[in-house]
Amino acid sequence: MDALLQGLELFLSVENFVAIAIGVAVGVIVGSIPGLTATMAVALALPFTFGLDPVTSILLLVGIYKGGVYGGSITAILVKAPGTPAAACSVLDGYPLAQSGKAGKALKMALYASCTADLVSNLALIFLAGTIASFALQFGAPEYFWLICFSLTVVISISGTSLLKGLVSGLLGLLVSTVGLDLVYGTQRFTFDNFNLMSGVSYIPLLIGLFALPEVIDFYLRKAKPLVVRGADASRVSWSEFRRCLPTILRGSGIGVAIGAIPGAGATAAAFLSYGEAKRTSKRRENFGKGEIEGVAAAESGNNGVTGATLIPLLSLGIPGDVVTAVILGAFMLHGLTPGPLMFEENLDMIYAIFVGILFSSVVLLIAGSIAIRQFVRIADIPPHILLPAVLLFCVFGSFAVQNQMFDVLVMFAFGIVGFLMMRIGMAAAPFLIGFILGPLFEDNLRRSFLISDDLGVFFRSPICWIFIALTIFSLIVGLRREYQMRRTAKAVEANS
Amino acid sequence: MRTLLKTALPWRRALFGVVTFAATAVFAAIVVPWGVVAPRSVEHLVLSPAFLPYVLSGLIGLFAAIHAIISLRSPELADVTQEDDAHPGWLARLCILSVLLGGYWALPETFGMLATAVAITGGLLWLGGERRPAVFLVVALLLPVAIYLFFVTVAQVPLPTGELFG
Repeated sequence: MDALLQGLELFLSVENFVAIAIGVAVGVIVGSIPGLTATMAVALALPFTFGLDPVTSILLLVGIYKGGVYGGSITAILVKAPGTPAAACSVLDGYPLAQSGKAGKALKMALYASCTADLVSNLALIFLAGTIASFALQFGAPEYFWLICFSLTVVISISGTSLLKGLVSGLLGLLVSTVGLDLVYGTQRFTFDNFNLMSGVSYIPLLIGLFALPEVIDFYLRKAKPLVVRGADASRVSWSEFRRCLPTILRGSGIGVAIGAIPGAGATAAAFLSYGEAKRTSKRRENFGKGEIEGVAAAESGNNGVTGATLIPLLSLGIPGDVVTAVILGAFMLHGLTPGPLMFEENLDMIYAIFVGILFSSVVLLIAGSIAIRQFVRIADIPPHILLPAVLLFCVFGSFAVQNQMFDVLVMFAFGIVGFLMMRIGMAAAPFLIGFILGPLFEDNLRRSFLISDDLGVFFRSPICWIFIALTIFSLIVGLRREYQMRRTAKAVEANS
Repeated sequence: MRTLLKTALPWRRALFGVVTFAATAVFAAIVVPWGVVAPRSVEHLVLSPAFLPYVLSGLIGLFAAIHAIISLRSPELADVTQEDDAHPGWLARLCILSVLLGGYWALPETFGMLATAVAITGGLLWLGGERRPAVFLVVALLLPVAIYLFFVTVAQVPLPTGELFG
């Protein structure tokens, strides 16, 4: 109790409030720009923390991280250009909603789902850090392998109009993820002596190319349409809509917390898993992918449920869960602190101060997000022939910014053409992305399992393996059955009409 | 594109499966052996760098073949075709767009990213149908400059300045 009071005292300073506010605001802006990631913003902000108090520094960086993860959804919904890979899932229903003049509704639901999930994630961090961290520590290569297999089953739910094309798309994503130096032997795979490809295909240019560029190309090749100038979008999320989506948001938050606590699993997998589960269980599953508000809630809650939970392995074990938390770990070390069990003994007041600050950041996110929506929603009113050159500028500059090389711009254009062709033949791009993101984890853990033991029994060695095997099989059977039934029904309706 | 995408004959739907199947066969037979260096010391098949590319090629080929068969036998289960709404001059527009997008890759080293962005944004505005001089000038000039300054000064991205201006 004394430590809690001391922590509260440590937190209650103007600097901490300002740091969180600035951090979240900067994060939302940076996250909303395709190519500029939360990781980049946190890394750029790190030098500014040298002169700050340790708690203020950490809260500034955590604020940027949280704002950045939410901000990615803004451009994903408005112009189909996800600011972050995890926001790609928000495109599926957010963009169709924006297209039908409900950008405000989609953005607001994204914000409410994000803030709720963020709060749940923060509470999990505060109250369940020890328990979840010890569970996450039991994950070895075989357990990760089955977790990734389970995550890959979501491809069934996001395949769009053709399940087989969706599966091919997911497998193509996995195939592209094999480009680069082999992790076990260090030999080349599909690099053809091009040093730019040695570390694989850069995922930000791929993401931008796959989602944003096809819209640009498509606009210029379509029949000219009269420009529709809408009034400011005043669509809101009603209380009944929020209440309907709340179970989905809470489930997505839980998925986000579980995935976030496992180092390396990532927000993209959480967002797609949450979306897949929502689609599987929703009464309005036939609307998913066509502008269903519940789809936005599912994607964003899964995505943001990760943010607090990634700090669990960092604070309780000293293990960074992803690249952003690795940078935050660097900030701890810069201030002479080493996260882990010892910090809970020696600097408990500081831990509590950070916890209070992180809880407060959820409120700040709600305020900053509301202000951002009011400004950003006007983008939906800009005529497309003016908006799209601007989107292209962000795509080109953002792709270059990833590694400061023109090769990434070329990668973006290449995958833009791939994305456009996929769009024209009715092949969903989202499975490609999920395959690409999860591919390295899938292969790495498959091969590491074989390095641990030649015996196939290693894949069935623990209850966690069995749980994920069961979940994978269950998800496959239910997903395939539902998809088949939905397609039959849709075709029957189409034939009758 | 107009004719190719014009709806729904079963064989057109099957074309995707046939082409993909053929492409994966070529990929597995030529590209994988050529592009993947597999050391001889590999003890276990799964540990080989070529294992996953072969498995994935096989699965893609398999699903593509199933798609082709289903398209021919029961097309209603294959997929939903897209409406055809291509611009009448889509080929000319595609050529112009290709040149403009190619410019983003080819020109910055010589002319710098800012000058390239101004020129290409102007080109895209013209292609999009903007003919009002005031709007044209403001958007084509100010927009690239503003975004360029944001990236260079705030995000500290060293965008190419170009050999001519650098």
